[in-house]
Amino acid sequence: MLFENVLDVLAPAVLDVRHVGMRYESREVMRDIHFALTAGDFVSIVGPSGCGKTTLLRAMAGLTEPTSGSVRFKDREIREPQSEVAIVFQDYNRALLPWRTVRGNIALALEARRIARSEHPARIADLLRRVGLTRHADHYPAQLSGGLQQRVQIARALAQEPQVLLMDEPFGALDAITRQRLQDELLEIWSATSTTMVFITHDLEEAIYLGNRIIVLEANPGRVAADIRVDLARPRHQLTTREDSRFLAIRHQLFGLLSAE
Amino acid sequence: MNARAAKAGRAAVFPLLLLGGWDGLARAHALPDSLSRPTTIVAALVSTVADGSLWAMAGQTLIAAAAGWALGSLLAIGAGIAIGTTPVVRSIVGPALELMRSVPPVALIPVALLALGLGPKLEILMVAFAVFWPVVLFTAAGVRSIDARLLEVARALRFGAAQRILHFVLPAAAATIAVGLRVAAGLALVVAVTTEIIANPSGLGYGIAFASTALRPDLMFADLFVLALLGFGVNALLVAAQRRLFAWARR
Repeated sequence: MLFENVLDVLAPAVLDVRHVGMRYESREVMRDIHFALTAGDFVSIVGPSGCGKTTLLRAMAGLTEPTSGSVRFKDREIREPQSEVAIVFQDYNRALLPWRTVRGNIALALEARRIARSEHPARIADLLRRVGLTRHADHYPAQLSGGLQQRVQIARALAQEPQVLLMDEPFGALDAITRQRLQDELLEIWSATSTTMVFITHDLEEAIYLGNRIIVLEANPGRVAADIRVDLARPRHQLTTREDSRFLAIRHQLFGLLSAE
Repeated sequence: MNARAAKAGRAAVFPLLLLGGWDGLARAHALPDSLSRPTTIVAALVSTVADGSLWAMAGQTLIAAAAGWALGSLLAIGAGIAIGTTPVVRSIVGPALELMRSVPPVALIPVALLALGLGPKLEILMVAFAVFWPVVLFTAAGVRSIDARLLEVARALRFGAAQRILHFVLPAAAATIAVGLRVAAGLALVVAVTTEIIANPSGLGYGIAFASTALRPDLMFADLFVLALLGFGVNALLVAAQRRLFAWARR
């Protein structure tokens, strides 16, 4: 107990999901979802379709207000989007401005934060380098592959310099190779910053590979079924990590939890 | 380059045949004299260009049409944004808009004549009125067609209403608004010339009406030719502008 308190002091909760419930008319989408995110955490959220994953993430982003309970960022209750909490949508092709180049799309977040124009070029160059888009700075989204477009959206979210980055199945629409590359790039970005990551996915292996914690939701209504620690060594490796016996054990556990319904 | 020249050559075949046939029939007195003859029309064209009267008339028409187009479009884009973004405004003014839109603008010339009297002010306001409707409809439709996800991105980035309109709504609607502006430009010339024929003694419209009453069909056709050229030029200009501005949409 004392040990837990010490941990709390060292790594206080950044995002606090408190007994969140959501109802659309007579349909109950989420019930009493309760957990807290520690600063610097990488949390994967998995669950069957209809468990309210996306609704939960939107509530954490301040895009939707829960019908009961609350989401708090540090001391504030989240009722509308916060500058410290960024979101990356799954549908990158709808979430980028098609009339702006890669550079312009990233600049959007800087404009939103009212950062002086004179600082834009250096910041954008840095972000482009971090997501590997330097060569594509002046391309329009429609000229880029899905993987590159999603990198633009991630760069735009990073331009917000968020403390929490919420991602809704960001790699769900990408092919396996591109997806693995982006997973590793995301882990690099995460280890280089202290950003707290929340990553929704329907891919169990992706959830284990990325996270140091997995929240498993069950459906109808969406509830927390399990909260699992992932004690796999970092940096992770696409082959060896996935072959690790602990990786496989967690995979079995998740599979059991999600096929039990 | 040769392909382009060949294309232009083919495009010229039909008009040249038409002119040749017209000239031949007129020489054979197979056509009424009121239709004049291409050769005399060219002569009239040359003489009016030489004495500057043609330039003056074309300039008057073009300036009045452009001024009315700009005024009407500006008001319409503002109204279209309000209608497209705000359901309340849409439900209040929508039905009235549909009713007003079905009044042919030309039918209002006598009314406007009573209120404003003869002159360029009348012409500009008539053009602005006619142009308003297509532009307001295209703008509202363009504004409403914006992807809901983009508006959510605007929300997530915490942009205010003005910034949201400037950075998201207007660019998203711009391609549709541009189509409305082109439709409006054609309409602007029509209404400008009509007003000149009926109520504002200036420009090409008055030139045509005057030539008709003066029994100078050659002059009349010379004016018509310039009017066609003007309409063609304005449209080509707007198409080129559209291509440049919306390069991102064609990739």
